[in-house]
Amino acid sequence: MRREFKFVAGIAVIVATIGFLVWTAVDQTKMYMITVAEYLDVGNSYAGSTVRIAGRVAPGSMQWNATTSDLRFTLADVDGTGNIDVHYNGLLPDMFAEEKKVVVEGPYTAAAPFEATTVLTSCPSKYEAESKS
Amino acid sequence: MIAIGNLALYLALATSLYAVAASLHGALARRREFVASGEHAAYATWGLICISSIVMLHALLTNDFSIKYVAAYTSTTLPARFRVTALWGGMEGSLLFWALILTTFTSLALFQNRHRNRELMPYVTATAATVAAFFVSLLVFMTPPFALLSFPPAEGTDLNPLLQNYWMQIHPPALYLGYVSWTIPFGFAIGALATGRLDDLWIRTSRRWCLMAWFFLGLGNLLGARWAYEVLGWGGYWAWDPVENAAFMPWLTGTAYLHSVMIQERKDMLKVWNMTLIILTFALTIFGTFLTRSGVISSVHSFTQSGLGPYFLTFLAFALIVSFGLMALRLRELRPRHQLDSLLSRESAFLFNNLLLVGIAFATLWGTIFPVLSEWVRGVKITVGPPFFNRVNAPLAVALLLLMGVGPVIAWRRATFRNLVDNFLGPAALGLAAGGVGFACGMRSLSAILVVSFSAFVLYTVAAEFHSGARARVAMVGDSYGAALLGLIRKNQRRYGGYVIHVGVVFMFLGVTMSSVYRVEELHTVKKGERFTIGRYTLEYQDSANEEDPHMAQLIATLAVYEDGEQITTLRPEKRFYKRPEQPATEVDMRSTMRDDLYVVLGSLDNQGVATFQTYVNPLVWWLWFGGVVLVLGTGIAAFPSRTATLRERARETSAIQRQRA
Repeated sequence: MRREFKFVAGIAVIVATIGFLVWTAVDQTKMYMITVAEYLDVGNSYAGSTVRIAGRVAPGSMQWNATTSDLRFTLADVDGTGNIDVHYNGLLPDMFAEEKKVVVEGPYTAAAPFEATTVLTSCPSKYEAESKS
Repeated sequence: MIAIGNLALYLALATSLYAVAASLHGALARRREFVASGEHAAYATWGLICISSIVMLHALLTNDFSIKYVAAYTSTTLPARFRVTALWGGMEGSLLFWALILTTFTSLALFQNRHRNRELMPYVTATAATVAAFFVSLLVFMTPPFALLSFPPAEGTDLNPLLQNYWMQIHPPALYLGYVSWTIPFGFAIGALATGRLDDLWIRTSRRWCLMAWFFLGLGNLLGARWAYEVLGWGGYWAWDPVENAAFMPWLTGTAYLHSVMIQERKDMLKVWNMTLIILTFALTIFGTFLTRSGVISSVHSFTQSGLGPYFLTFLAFALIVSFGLMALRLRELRPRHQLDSLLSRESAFLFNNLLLVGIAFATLWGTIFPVLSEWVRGVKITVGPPFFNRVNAPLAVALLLLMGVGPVIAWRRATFRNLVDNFLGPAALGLAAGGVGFACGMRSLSAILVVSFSAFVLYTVAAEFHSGARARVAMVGDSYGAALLGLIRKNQRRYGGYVIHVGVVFMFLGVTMSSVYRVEELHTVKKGERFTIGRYTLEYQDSANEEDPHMAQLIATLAVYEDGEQITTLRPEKRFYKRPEQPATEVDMRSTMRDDLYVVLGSLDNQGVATFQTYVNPLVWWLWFGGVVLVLGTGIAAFPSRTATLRERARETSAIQRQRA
């Protein structure tokens, strides 16, 4: 009986540790996946969290400074309600262009522009994930 | 031609369904002719899928743009080798390719066991044929690969440029081989449950299949990482993308299974656990396919929206209900005959290794499906990125590394204090010393120091195992040391092959840890003739060039690389612009050494020749790939058929038959 108890206790400790790690990590790394409209909705509070906003690069808004690697553009809601000014410093992503659907990530701020830490581009028509897998 | 391809698919659906029915009827009614008929139908399915695949390959190679798939994934300017690759470049083709591998493996397993395991085989046939019928029915009803275009275009849309790459030619087949071959051991497990032959027969028979499945899944992941590293141009190789996780999870549970079956074979314990692991591994391969096909979880790479999701989920639920249902019926017979003796024993080292591997798989699954879960439960879409996976999995993986050193040398049943001192004093001292040296060299990251220390610990224990075994053999057989070492490996390939795999994994641990903790990343914008420095390298941007052919246009920058004032190499990163579809792509150039990789991406290049370079120095990443090579070698040793192993197996079978008769 005592022997079994030791094993049960050992297993319980490991399972609890894994559970604890998962729980705290979710809390510390969670990112809200939202649209531009949801970001602008004052009813939602994302203060203190990281957000991942999906939208479309507004036509005529893209400014790329190759010397300083600064990218500025306006992220428009895909359904056309609301805009966010975005600033990003880094390489211009390969597929980035006006009118394209993009996803930006960064800490929520009330002030403009939104400082993106990551800009993700997509090519919905063609890119097949399974081939990449 | 196209009619033949379609017809073959329809017939394959019929033969696979017939194979299921005939095998099950034959097994339950004990009618041998039905069992044989079921096997023949499984062979026939294989033949039909081969015909269908050949028709598809022919169409791809000859640019038959009347087929929608061919028009979507090839073009006249696409090199022939990539036209073959296009077979798995899209959804329909990869499902067909999947069915091809599955039916090939089924036929191989049936042929291999044509005189053996007759009791189990009908269920293996039925299981594999059920999976085949599922995939073929998707091809017939949902995603017909030979769908026609009413107006065939003069030119195809072409294969995605990111896939026009050497690694992409070998990575998906390796991964699919890994995914699919788990079906065979799963079939044997189902056979064991259905027949009640719950000893380790099914495990021993399917051992090589498991090893192969595990190997290809691991290799597929590694090749995928290599592809990401060379082609995607973000300086890393693993992004915890859902699609990557999908292939990683079954590998983890499969690894756990490969370890825990050793306990069952030796101690007749953990039977329920092993059954659960093999069922989970198979389920995760189907779940992985579901993740990549359904677009349920939007990944950075995956934008494939298809209506296949519900079908996969239904099939997955069906597989889980049937297998766990069968297991519940046999639960009483699966009771262990022995118990664990002590926390300080090899058995418990294996047990904890299993818990950690399954824990990593669980955390990965949790993180992967978290967006879906959070939307269901709270109505908010929340995702967790790579930081989540690193934060959870890094400590678990480090603990696993430590157990990798403990497991092989700790005593079975109960380790005495003497045993612990004898076996662990040396390795622990070396581990501490290695950690100390790391700290003295300026390493301040806890995980890096732990990984260095534990790696030294593991390498010492492995070396000690080889050394003591060889010395004992020298004393016993009188061979020279070298001959004794070879003889030792040949005598027990599985054990020593496993140790070699461990060495490979240690190298991979070192490569992954050091390249993630000590990676340097810089962005520089320079004019021609200017220099910039990263780490110990100085790069001089010398020239730029434009090249163009019908397939693509290239911008090429030339950089001279200096170390200690001497030029060591020239790098030529490129920016490519593919013409069909019009799409830019980055072509990385790097200088890879055992010490570190200098990795250069051409960000942009303007008309005046001003260029932006994203440059990385990734320490020890070479060891990740080299670890992979060692892993291949180790698996080869463990799985390669040898006379000793065959003889031993045959002796076991004979004695089992005699025992049954007695």
